[in-house]
Amino acid sequence: MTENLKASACDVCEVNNRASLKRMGLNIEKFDFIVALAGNPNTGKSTVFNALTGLRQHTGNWPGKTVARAEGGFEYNDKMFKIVDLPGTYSLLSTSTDEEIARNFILFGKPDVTVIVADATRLERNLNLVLQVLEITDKAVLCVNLIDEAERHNVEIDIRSLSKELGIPVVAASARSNKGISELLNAVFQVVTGNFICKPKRISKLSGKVSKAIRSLTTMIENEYPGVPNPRWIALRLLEGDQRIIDAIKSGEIIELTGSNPQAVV
Amino acid sequence: MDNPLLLIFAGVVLFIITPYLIFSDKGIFNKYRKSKKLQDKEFIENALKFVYDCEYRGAACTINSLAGNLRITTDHCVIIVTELLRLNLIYKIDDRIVLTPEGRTYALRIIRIHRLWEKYLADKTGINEKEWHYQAEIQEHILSENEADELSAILGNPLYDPHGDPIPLRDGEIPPKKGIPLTRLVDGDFAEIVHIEDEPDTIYAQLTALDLHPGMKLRIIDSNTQKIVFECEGDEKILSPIFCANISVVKIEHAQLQVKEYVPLSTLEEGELAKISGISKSIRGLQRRRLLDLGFVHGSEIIKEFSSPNGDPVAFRIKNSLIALRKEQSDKIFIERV
Amino acid sequence: MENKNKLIAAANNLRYEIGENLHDYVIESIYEEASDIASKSVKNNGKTDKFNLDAKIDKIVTSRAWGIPIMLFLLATVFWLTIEGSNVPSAFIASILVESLHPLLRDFVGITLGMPWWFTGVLIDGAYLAMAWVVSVMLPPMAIFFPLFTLLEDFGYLPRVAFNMDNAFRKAGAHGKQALTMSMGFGCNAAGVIAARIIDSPRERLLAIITNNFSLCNGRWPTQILISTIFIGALAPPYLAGIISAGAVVTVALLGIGFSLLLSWSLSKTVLRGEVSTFSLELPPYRPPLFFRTLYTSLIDRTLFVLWRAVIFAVPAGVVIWLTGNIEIGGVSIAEHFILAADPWAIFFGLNGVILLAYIIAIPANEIVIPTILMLTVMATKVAEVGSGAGVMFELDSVSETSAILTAGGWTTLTGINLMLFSLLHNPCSTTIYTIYKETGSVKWTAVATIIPLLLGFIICFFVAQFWRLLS
Repeated sequence: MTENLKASACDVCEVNNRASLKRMGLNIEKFDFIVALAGNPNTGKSTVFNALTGLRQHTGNWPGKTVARAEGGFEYNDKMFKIVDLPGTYSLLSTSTDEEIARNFILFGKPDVTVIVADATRLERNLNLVLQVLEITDKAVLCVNLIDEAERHNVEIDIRSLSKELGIPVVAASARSNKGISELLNAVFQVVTGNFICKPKRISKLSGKVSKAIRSLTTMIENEYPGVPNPRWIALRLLEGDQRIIDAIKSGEIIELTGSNPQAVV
Repeated sequence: MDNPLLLIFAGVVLFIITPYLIFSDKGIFNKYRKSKKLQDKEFIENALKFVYDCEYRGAACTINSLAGNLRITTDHCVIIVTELLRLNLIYKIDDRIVLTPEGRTYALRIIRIHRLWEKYLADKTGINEKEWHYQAEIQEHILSENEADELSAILGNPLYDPHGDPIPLRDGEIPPKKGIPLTRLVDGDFAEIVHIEDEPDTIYAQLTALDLHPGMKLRIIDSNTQKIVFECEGDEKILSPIFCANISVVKIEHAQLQVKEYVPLSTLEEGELAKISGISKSIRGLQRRRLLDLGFVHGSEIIKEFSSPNGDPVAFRIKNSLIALRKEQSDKIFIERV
Repeated sequence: MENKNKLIAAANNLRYEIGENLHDYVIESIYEEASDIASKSVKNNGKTDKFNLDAKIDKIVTSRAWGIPIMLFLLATVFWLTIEGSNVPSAFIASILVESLHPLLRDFVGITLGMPWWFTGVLIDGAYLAMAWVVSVMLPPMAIFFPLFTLLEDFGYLPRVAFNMDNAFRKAGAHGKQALTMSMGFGCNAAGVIAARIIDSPRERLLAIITNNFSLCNGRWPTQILISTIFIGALAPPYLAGIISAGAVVTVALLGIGFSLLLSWSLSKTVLRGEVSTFSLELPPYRPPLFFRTLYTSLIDRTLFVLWRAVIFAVPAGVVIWLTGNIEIGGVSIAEHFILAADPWAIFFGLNGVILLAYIIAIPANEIVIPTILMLTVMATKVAEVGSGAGVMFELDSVSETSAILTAGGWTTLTGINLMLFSLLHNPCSTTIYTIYKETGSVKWTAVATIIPLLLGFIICFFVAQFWRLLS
């Protein structure tokens, strides 16, 4: 079905795709895939969440308002998705509770795809978070939201080049007016089904003393846990003294991340 | 009982003067807090800390020096030392007091809690610097090892306390002291502060007042036996060598300086464009991380947009978003004019 | 096991070597990368039009001349619309729930079901009536206030309020965002306490929570207006009465703001010693709010949430109110015992026993204080022809009748003034106390937030009473 849609004109696919979305609200008992929703505060992340699930969560124009983790569900192309709205954060590296919840879910919750919502008018600042997420997971979709606002401000974003640079699907959207939601769904579907293999951009500008430390630690981790998808992130977190990672190494939980045990632990 | 004047007078005494006497800085409550008699356990733990410190510095520890540090009589000190011997925490070589392995572990545990608590106060609360050491002195005797572990995890297992002292790992040793005293530098040397000794109080209070923090870079302008003049984050500071002996530094090359000139962001004019060169080391913890996350990193362009009706805070545009900062912060962020 | 520990030990050694700069360094590298990518895929066709529109709005709403007046005007409009707009729907809901349904239910339970009088009393005159009252006086103002406030929030104006007001809060050792939780408190203190989540440093957040009660909430405005009209308006010539009494209410509200700053300042100097540890305030771009979505979500998330909490507390309080008026010891009700015992020293503070008892038993919601006061006054003074029996709250449509009852209860101008002050400065309602506990998770801070305003209330009333007596 998806193959057909790809071939057809976009007007048609809009209609068809929308038709295959079924918002499930809070009904998330059974699901095939987990979608994590990350993003900076105030980027319309909750609007995207609401557009997908049909729920109406209000967060307001404030950073850090979503305190708890919200969950919802939707059905798309006959597959059930559980979507987890992570707290809005600027970064994933600090010791605040919000950021801990977000980064631990992306790593240990093993979502099938992480959708990162970014503000088109401040893409550069949002890329800070995007690049951090891409260090953790290689299954991600970037949703450049508020694209109409960016257009009003004469900001033009080359979605293709961005997608090429980041190595993940990038979708322009305006969730407020429901624009781009079907493209987002399609991208999510492509990634979870393995039709689109992400080759995420990893940070390459590290140099000097810090990079040497990270490299030597990364090698140790790769030797100890062959197949772990994100050794460098783990190395970085160890250097930041992240207790959750230390505990995971001690308890052996980290082995589950190598993919030898496909059962998701949430 | 129904003379209003008398009642007003009584009311003023009861509701205003009394609370002031009790709760103000120099009030009874505070005095009581500070003068509280130490318990035996606290004496023992403080003694262990001191013995450990002597060994760390490579100095000999005797009953007399211990009594001096704990501010007790020699007789009282003998009782404590006897107790420590009985608990097998120390042993004696002639007059010298030395820690047993158990004593060392115990001492490190106390030091760890002390430094973690200071780090916690510095990073997660707005409590004044002068209070840190004193509050940590209390907490180190209260917190259990598990609570200390939790605290450490919350803080991201920090390695250095806000004075630059390394925090021992659980069951771990402390790495050896880094750096040399500031007094050993000569004119024109560049250096980074790695440690500021927090005892004795009087010297530390003076250093705090100068707003010096580990991580800050400095340049010696004039160093002689009378006074040491140096430039630190754009300000010229003058200190006598006695004070400078409490500051440890490591020498660096001029090329290693990320910030060449210390121009504070607060000097920017409305509509003027500049580039961020760095953030002062006196901004720490949550605040520092937040600023970095918002894009206050080396090389970012920044424009001053407008001020609030009273002139403070000021809104800056950075990475295309408007961020308002107070003058306290914009004084501590350095820029290069474009 | 061996390797694991080696790995962790290796990491620790590297950490001591690198020192404290890791985070700075990593973020800098990431941003370098981000700039690179952004420069390749983002094109900004000259910063024209729209950026300037935002800038123009900001120039005006934060200007020296207009910033504060615009803010006061907008907030005053919101409050005015709330108070004026809720009169009619409040009266309408009250006419259904209190005037029509209440007697029907009473007859149904008492006569049709044949339940004993005390059962009808507890259930209908106590629990039901308190709930009905809370719903009718609380729902309309909240249903107006919260959507209006949320519209301002979604438009992006509220962060500018924090920006404009920050200076005053900085001097008090608090965060500028406290200006918002304070404004929110004018709608409902419980909502204001929840809103304090937007402040991320714990010390400043606690300050915002503890001082929120000094914002005169919706539930207290009607009390202020009524008492001001009766006691303060009466002092002025008739043509000025309206303005003078309105001025008195505004003065009380401003006094609340003053106390809020003063308490923040003194807490910063004593128990919550310290400076603001973090301050960075993002001013988001202006966005046209989505009107209906805002309406819907603010109704669900804020109005009904708070109302539900209030109803839960109102029901048991209604039972208590009824019981105090009806359980008799030696032929006199508990309420009257209390009033007689408390009167001498309450009068010492320029209040009276009725007021104290009303504030104790009407703790769930400030909205039911006046009905409780009227009920208790009638009971204590034995004015037979008004009210509907012991323990049954009521309100009168006519201000002059209310005035007559209160005067018969021995109220003077001083009592009126002190009631207004005490209504501003007393413990938060139980909904707010519970919310403070939920938000702080600490019994200690909940107790502090509860007791400080109460103490302050007694102290201020005491001084006003003594000065009043000295001068009159």
